[in-house]
Amino acid sequence: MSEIISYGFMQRAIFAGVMVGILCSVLSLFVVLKRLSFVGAGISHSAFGGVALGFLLGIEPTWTATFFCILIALLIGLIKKRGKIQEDTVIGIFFAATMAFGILLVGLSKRYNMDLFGYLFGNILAISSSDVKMVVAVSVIVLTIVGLFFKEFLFYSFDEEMAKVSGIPTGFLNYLLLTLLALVIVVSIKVVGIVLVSALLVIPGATGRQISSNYRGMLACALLVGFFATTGGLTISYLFNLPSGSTIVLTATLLFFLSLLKR
Amino acid sequence: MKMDDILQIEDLRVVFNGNLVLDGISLKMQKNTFLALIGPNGGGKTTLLKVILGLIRPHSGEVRVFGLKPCQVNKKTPGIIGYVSQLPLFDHAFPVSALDVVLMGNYRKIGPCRRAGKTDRRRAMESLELVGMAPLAHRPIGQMSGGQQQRVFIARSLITQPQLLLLDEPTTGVDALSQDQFYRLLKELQVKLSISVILVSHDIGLVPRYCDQVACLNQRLFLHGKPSEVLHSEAMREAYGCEIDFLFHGNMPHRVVDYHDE
Repeated sequence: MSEIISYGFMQRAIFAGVMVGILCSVLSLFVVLKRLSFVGAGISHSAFGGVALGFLLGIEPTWTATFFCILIALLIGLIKKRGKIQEDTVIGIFFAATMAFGILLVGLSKRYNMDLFGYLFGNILAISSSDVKMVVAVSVIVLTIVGLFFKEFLFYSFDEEMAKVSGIPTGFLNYLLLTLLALVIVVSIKVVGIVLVSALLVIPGATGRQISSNYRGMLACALLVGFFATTGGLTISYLFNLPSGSTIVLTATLLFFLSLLKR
Repeated sequence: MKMDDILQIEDLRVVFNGNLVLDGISLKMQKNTFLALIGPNGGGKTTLLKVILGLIRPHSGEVRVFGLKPCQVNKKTPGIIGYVSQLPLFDHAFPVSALDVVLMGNYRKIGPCRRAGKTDRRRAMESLELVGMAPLAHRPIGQMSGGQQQRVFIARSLITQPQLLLLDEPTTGVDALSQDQFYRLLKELQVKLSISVILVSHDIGLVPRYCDQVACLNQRLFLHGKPSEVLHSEAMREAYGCEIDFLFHGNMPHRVVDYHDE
């Protein structure tokens, strides 16, 4: 086992994996309570368009994906705010449109890029030291903001109208949460992949909710699930030479099913 | 405007998606009044509350709450209005205790970057005591009955020590016996804390017993007077657009029995 952490790529993978697990778990609290799981799926799939754009233009795909995810996240919020179309309808449109855009760009680039598979399903071998720096930066931003506005996010998730009436800036919180989701999704892509990241934004929170009837317990439990799913998943992936995104998500799912045994 | 007027509405008009929802509403409310706002569904009761709260902008007309425009009330005097909405609990398993819910009412005052402290907790317990829910402070909100939940939501609105309390059909989903107790509690709180209350309801039977004034709203505000004057009047018939029968219980109407066809 000790040989696992002697490789540089494995150190980076474990560090990035654990941080991604923690970030996703923290946000999963609000994703589950505010019912944003489809929003998470919508934003993560839009990353595909961004990644493909990066490939075509020869820019680092992480940057174009960041731009794309934040853009789509804010558009979802904006169109929802106008109020004429339901949120899930908006996402249903962007979900497919951004994937279609990505596939169009891949077609235009005239070369089938194997790296693309890594973005879709995660590739821990591809985690560079600049990726690690980005994970650190996003962790600092996301954990600080959630720490500062935790109770406001909680009230916003519980009863948005009442929060607004009592003077909490719910419009701002909405866009802030969407932006944080976009950032966390982008740094999670190399660990679990575009297709699988939305699971990590739901399962820890859902498991926590099964176990605890209070948000403090729910958060603690979500963090444990995030931690054990990523470390456990990466270990299984290494030992049996299996795709890491899949082992992480399946480990989390297993923990979720175990939590169903309670009651 | 007199100092005692906490609410002043002059010729208010609200248009929603091309529909006239409120038309020519004028209303004055003095300190320490219990006002019941009744009227048929879709008559604009909730809309009027939302105008007072600053959630809906009027199309025309003047609205002053404590002498301020509704949108400024929260900035200049946060917490002066307490609000209990129609269906406050959307998610019946939301993982918070009654105490957590009441504390939320104080989040604005605590401000961002800070956690609720001992003083906030004590305040929240005091609010829960006012509504008789202190013994259940640590129970998850989803495991309480409809009536208990409503009391908790009232406690939340009381934690900021408001001077005006707005309640939008607070007894939806509460059984008849609890409803009566609930209205009695409201009346007690109104007197004890010397606050003003606007209670939206379509319970024309029970509500007038506890209030000082009744206003009837169906796009236009039909009446504004003492309960006994309102309930037997032509205006009531006009507001509902039909005859209303009452079952009398004591000398107050108890329940609407039937609506006639046009």
